[in-house]
Amino acid sequence: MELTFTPEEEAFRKEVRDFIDANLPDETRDYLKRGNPPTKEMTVQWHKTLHAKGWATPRWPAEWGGPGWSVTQMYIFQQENQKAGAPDPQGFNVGMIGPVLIQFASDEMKKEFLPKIASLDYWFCQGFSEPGAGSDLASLKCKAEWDEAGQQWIVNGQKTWTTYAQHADWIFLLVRTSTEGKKQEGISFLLVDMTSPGVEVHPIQTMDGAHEINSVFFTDVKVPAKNLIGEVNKGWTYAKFLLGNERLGAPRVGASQAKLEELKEIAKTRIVRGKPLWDHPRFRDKFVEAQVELKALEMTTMRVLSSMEAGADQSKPDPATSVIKIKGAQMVQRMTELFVEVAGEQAMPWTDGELGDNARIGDPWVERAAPNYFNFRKSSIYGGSDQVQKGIISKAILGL
Amino acid sequence: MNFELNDEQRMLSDSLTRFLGDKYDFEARRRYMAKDGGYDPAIWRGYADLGIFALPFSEDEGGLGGSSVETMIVGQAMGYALTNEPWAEAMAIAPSLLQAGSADQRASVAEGIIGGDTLPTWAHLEPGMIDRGEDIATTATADGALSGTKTVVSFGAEANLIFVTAKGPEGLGLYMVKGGAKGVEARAYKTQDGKRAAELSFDGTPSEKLTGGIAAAEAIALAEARALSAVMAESLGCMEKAIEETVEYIKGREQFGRAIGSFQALQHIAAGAVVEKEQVKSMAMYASVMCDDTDAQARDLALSAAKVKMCDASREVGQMSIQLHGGVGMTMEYAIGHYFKRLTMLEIAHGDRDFHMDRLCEAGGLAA
Repeated sequence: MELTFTPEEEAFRKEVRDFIDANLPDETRDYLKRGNPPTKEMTVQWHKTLHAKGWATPRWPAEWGGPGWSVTQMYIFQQENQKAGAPDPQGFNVGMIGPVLIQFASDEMKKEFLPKIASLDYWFCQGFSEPGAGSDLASLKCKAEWDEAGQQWIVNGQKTWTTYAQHADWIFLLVRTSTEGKKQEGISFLLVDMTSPGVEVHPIQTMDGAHEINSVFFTDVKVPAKNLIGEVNKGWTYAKFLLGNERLGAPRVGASQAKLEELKEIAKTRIVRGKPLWDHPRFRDKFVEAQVELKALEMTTMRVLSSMEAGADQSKPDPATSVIKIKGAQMVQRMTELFVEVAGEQAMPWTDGELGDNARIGDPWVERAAPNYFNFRKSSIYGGSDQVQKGIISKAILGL
Repeated sequence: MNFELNDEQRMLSDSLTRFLGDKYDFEARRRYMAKDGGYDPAIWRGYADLGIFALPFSEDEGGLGGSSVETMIVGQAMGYALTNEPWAEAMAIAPSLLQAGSADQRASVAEGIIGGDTLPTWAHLEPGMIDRGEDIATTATADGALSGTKTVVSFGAEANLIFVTAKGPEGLGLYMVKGGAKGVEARAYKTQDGKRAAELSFDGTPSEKLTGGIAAAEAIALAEARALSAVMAESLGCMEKAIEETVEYIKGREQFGRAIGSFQALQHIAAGAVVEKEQVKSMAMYASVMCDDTDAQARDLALSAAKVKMCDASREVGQMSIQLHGGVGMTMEYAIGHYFKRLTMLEIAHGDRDFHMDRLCEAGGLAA
């Protein structure tokens, strides 16, 4: 057991930090530091910069363009990238569909899709949830029927909560291909071109005012046979693998660490009842408690990665990923709560600019405090809600 | 960076777990507690025969030169089996305090501990002491005669080697007293979690001062850090077993015509406890590595962070274990209550949550 970094690992950290410093556009850095989510252009620009360096797909095998990093290096990269306030590499591509193709797709399909997924020439979105299939994902109804004459799939149905469908070139889709037997055994996994006739994207506005998510409608959408991953009716297995990977990426420890440091800086300059907030014992308690939990989460995340590297079965999700999903969501949410608590009444103005510029008061971070708090309630809901994760722990770890 | 144990560490874990599985089930534990002094000397000897006491001592001292990771492995197994003997005094505290002593002192004391002949303890806390390591009222004369009162000394009446913190003519010092020395009076009692302890008073008691190593204050801080790491490991073992016992119980207990473990309300409570236990496991590993850190402030803050996490998790895991057992969880007969009591004592051992929160808050938190 060795928790300290070797001089080589520290040198790697410096290399990553220097690269980010030299290449991350100031505009992106400043925009994200104010608490905004990255725009599509910012994500694409930074993803492509990382891709050119060979760093956009840290967990992929070298054969498919991964950098061949150790778990520690992956962790350092992720931490530095998040701490610098840079956009993450596009997660649906790099963390979800890419690994599924690498694990389960034919060589032909890998060759067709992986390079463009890695480079973000194809922006993928995730077509899993439906209005009637949320936590009970396997009850999904969006169907693909085999068209023998055209040797293709015909897709009909609706997906929802589809993040950044408005940006996407492709969608990876869970579809019902059989209604016989167990519901999990009639699901297949398709890749669908978003420009196909019959695909319609309808925006959904979230309570913070943002447009991240959408409903996607499919009406007689034709999908070539070659766009099916693996075998027909085996899609549930691939989906579970994907969800395990999604949970692994959930904690965003580096981002929470950066938020906590930012809070400290704000607290030092913010005068509350005659002294800096930093010197108020109740704030200091909250800060330290968050730091302790975050340190534990950092160690738990590394522990899971370390045991995966040490040879745990890669094709099945480790139930410990449910632990880090729950804690990761909790910490992200805790950070957003703390920003609202620090902003106090200055968090009240809604600053969409509709009534003119007069709505903008206070520091730049203040206007994002409440919207981010509202927005990040999502993190204990998506990727399998806290309650779904507890169900997984009960069954897979405790045998209940 | 890696979190995996090496082959030797896995063997250590296996052999100690096997030994405790054979010798230390819940019924055996009751028998040992009923013996004079509240423990079975054959078990202490058994630990020595397994070689675990040699682990924390350097090769110069006659030991195996293990790190605190080995101590963590031992502590986890001890917590899981709910053992009572002062293993942490032997493996975490004594080797640390001895760093204030000469090479001869270190080697001769180590020999006794490694061989199982010595049952060591540390007389540190005093009645009315408001901070750990300060306000020591026990005094030592220039020739090492000790006078004062110490409280909650683990196995204070049974130990045959007592490390004593006292103020001498040159300030804070560490002294060694042999069991049964002149002028020692012990008022022994059982502790809430089934161990033994004593109030010890010294009245001109002869002692040997530790001299020739690091300053006493540094050795004390090191002992506290390693003791905290031991607490983390022991509490992890306790939590693992408490969750196992609880899950077994709710699988078997039927109400409303079905196993109560099939109810989602109970499943989610148990799953929440697993999440907390996993966080403690991570912090136990962090603590075991950080307690050997050469930067004393980084070390102490890391151990404080670990202890704060442990205190919160211990409440959740301990209380849920009793709750899910229902009425039988309240009884002396069932093991679970004893795990709950041990966890509660570990929460307050070596500084409670407030003590460690204060230490972190005063420093402005962990280094970024």
